[in-house]
Amino acid sequence: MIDYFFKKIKLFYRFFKIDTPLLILIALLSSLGLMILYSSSGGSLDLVYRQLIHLGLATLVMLIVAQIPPLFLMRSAPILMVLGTVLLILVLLFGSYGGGAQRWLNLGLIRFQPSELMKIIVPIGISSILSEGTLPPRAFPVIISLVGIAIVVLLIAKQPDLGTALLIGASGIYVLFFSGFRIRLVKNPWLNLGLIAGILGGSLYAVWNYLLISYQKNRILTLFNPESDPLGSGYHILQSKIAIGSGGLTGKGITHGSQSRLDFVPAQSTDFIFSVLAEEMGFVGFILLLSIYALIIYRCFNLSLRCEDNFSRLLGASLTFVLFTYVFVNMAMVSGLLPVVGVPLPLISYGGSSLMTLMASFGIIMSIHKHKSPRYLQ
Amino acid sequence: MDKIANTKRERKVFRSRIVIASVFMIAMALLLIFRLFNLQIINHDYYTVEALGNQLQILPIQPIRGDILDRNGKVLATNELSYRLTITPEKIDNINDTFIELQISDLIDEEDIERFNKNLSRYKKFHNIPIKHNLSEEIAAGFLVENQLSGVEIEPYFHRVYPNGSSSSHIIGYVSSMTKEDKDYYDKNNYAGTTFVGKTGIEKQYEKLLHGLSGEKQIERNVDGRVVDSKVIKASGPGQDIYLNIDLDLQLAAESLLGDSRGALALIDVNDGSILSLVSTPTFDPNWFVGGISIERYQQLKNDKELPLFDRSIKGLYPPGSTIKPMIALAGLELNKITIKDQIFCPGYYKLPDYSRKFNDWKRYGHGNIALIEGIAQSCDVFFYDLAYKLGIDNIHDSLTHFQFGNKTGIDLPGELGGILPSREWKKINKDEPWYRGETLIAGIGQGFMTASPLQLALATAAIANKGQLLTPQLLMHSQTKSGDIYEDDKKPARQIPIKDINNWELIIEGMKQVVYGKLGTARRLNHKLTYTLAGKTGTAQVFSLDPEEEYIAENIEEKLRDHALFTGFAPIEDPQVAIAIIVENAGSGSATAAPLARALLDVYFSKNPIKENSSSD
Repeated sequence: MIDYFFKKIKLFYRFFKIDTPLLILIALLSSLGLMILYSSSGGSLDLVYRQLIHLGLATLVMLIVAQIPPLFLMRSAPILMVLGTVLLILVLLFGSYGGGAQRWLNLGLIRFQPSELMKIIVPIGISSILSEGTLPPRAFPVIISLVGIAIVVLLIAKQPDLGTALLIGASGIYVLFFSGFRIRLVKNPWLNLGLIAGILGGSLYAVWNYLLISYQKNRILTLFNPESDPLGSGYHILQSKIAIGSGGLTGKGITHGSQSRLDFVPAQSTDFIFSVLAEEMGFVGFILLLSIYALIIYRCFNLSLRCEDNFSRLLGASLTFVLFTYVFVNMAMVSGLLPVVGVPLPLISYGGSSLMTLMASFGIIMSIHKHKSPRYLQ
Repeated sequence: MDKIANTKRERKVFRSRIVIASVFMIAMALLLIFRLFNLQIINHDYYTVEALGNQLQILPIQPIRGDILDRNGKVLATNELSYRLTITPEKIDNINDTFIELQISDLIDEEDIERFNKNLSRYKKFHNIPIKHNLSEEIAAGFLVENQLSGVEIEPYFHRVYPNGSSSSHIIGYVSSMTKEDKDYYDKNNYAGTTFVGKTGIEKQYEKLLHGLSGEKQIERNVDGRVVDSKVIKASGPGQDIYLNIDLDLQLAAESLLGDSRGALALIDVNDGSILSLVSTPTFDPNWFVGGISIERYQQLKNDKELPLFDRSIKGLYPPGSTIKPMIALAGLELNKITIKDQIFCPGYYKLPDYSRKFNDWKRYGHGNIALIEGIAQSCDVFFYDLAYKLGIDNIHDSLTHFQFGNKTGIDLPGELGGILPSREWKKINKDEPWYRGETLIAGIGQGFMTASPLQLALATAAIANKGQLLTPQLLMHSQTKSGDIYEDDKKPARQIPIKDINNWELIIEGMKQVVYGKLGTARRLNHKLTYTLAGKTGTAQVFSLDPEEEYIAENIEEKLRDHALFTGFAPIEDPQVAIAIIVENAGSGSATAAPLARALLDVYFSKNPIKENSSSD
């Protein structure tokens, strides 16, 4: 009887292209997130309810995306890239401001950030371009890809939203990386490495001097010495570090973090929610969180490896690596290793739009695994 | 075949890249683990102390403000335990919602919000910022029962109270919330917890004595931000009580005597300059200002044509009129321009030899032949036109300077005005015109450019009473700490008015005596049933304007053009105790209006302070 019941469920999941282990891990992480959110919002259920609604909608998005065959995504990639770029240009022309940057596009009923969409469109687009031929790719598709990435990055950096621009640029580069592309400027591998480092350094210098706006520079500079200006821009990092450090091994207990409850930690429900977790659940909580992320990433890589076609593999692996990037950048930022760039902690931070894109990514990963690749692509 | 080989190669390359990525991720994860280990395990103690430091806060303790009391210890200003509503903006997500909630429950209004927003920048983070003062115990208790709003609290505090309402308000002044300028002016540390500061009157003059020394306490908050422990690090030193020379009974009597009329009076001790009474009417209630006066009420007070906020006793500048005559007479005697016996004929007007204008006497058909004593007693204008002409403006100016006209008296109140004692030089500077002879005549009867405050007139009268001692008027009797230590203020030394013939004082005092006792004295009605001896001088000042700064737009021209009534005097004549000056605006003649009021107040004074029988005369 029970056996029969399980079989039915299995069939149901298979039909809806759902990967059960991934779904369980996502549910686990979301529950942890809701718990921390309850604490960080000062014991108010208001934010928790709203986040539950976000989660419900995002799960729906994930289910819908999971039904889309990868082939369809691959075919529509050029249209998606063009559409996304046009939206970014529209944002610069007609977008509304929020928090000093022009990120939002107002479509009457809904306001949304096209840059959020680009987090998925760029990996799809680059994966599509590179998987046209054999891998590792030849020079031409690589150049096309780099030009595409550059356009998108510049458009987003112009808003200005440097953090998102860099992360989206990285997502495109990741696809190149997984495609097996390598830069071979000279034969000697060490000299090769040196040259690449030199070029990267040079471009960093250019970015610092010509692209960054003073508040962005300040954010980066305060990173190096937050204590020097305790009530200025370094104040947030300092308070966040105090919160994390005072958490100790096992933490102060849920809803007992004095730093976050007394509002010393900024944005404690969104970008800085990690410091609440670290303060209240301690080092043990941090390791627990990191383990769940590791399992999710492991599962996603595993699913990508099992794919039969290049497009699915590249897309799956790069989306997974993007997820890791978000986790790392957020934790590093909150613990003072990286500048404050405004990156949410996936599935934990409060907020709807970033959750939608994240769940859509999971939907894609489920889709590439469950959909059988057409023979000619294999 | 080729395709299969390709697929295999692609798969291999992808797999190797996944491995590289995984190694990279593990390295980054280790970096994070190392970082968190460093923060949470190795430096845990350090950050625990830092977090605790955030929970501990040093807060100032506001000292209790000293009371203000009259000479008999009757309370003029004190503190009462009250409640206020405070808001901590950092604890509130949407402060506008909180404002709306509070407005719905009728606790605050738009003006409170406006004031709150204006004050916001003066407070440090996480401070309870008061939004509404002086809530009754019922409202405070009701709020505490129903309060659902985070960041909104009720806290007890001491509210400044003026128990006598509008009585003596110009002297006492009032406290009100500190402005940004106040914060800059007063010592930052000592005023860290202070909400109210003296704005006018004694409250401002002796702010530093009244305020006391701020203390410090350390509070500890729990995770909900509630204070769980509080200990005093440094106790606050309460402010000193200020005892004033004024007598509240005399103040109340004087205020009821002046009633609805606009006027002012000053009653001072002729021996040391203590101010026994200093009144300006109409008055206002200083209690209105303490919790923040409504804009509407303030505008109403400011625009009131009766100028209730204006302290006429030290800022009101009036032509002294005939009250100046004894001093002009003294100048004439001193400079030998006239003797006690010299008579002139008064036909009711005075004419300069080569000047067509007639200068009228107040008595249309004249006083006939008249000498100095009777000239003062009957206030003969012609006599003083003649004397002024003989003296010349330079002599008049120099003589009156000795009586402190044209200068501030130095009373311990903020905002005193010194009035005008005209001279050739003054007119050149201020009017850019030469001095005309006619103006000298006018000056001789205290009209024209000359102005003085009621306090100045009382001081000059006191100088006559004590034969040349010019005193500094003083409101402060002494200050007293809560433990009972009394600090006397150093009495400022009196200045001696230079005189050649000491007998000349007696002559003008005789003139002032005849004002009250003479058959034709202008204030002869006062001597009826007088229990003490009184010398004085009436005055009737033609209205030019109250003060050049004030717009004295007379809607009711009839009334506003009427003369001001004045009286100055001292009593008893043999052994003077007090000097008085009174002015009633637009009340007609001094003898009819001002003199009876002065006597009524002196009656109150002498019934409270009976003249001691001189033992040697028994």
